[in-house]
Amino acid sequence: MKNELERLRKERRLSQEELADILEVSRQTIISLEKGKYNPSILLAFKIAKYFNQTIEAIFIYESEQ
Amino acid sequence: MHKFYTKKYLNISLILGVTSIFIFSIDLYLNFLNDFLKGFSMSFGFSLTLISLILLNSPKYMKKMEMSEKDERLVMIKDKQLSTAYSFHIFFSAVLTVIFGLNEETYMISVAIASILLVEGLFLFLIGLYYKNKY
Repeated sequence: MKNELERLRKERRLSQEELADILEVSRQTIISLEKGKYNPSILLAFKIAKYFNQTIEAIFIYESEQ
Repeated sequence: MHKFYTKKYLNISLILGVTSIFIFSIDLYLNFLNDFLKGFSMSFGFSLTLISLILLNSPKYMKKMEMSEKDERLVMIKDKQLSTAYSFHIFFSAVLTVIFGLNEETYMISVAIASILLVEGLFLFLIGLYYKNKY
């Protein structure tokens, strides 16, 4: 799954540490999310979408495994 | 709401430590503990109290622990780590049960390990039933 997290974070001029504090996760989690190594739970996805004032689909782009 | 387990466990440790020191203090007057228990209650009580107090009053440590409990990725990693280690433990115990069971002199060790495996298997089954009902 691709995501627009890095772009949105940079648009808001936030550091990974600052975004991690806002979302109440560790900085490593933000790094993993931005790299696409970790897919967030629906709760964290909602939290991210709410913070950036976007829909979940606008931030997280589902890619079929085929 | 998120429960902060580290703080809860540290508070329990502090209570245990203070209780142990209290028992040691009473023993100074009533003398009801043997030498081993005297030494144990004092060292156990003081070390537990000291460690709990230091950690409870360390904002850096408490923040780190709160984060590691809240962060879903770290929780997932911990769960995967524990389940992988437990699978290895079962495999290793099963191999040891067979190896010790081959020799007449060590077969009791094999029986002991097999008994532990049986209890663990039963616990695993019951915990599986609990989670199947919960989710």
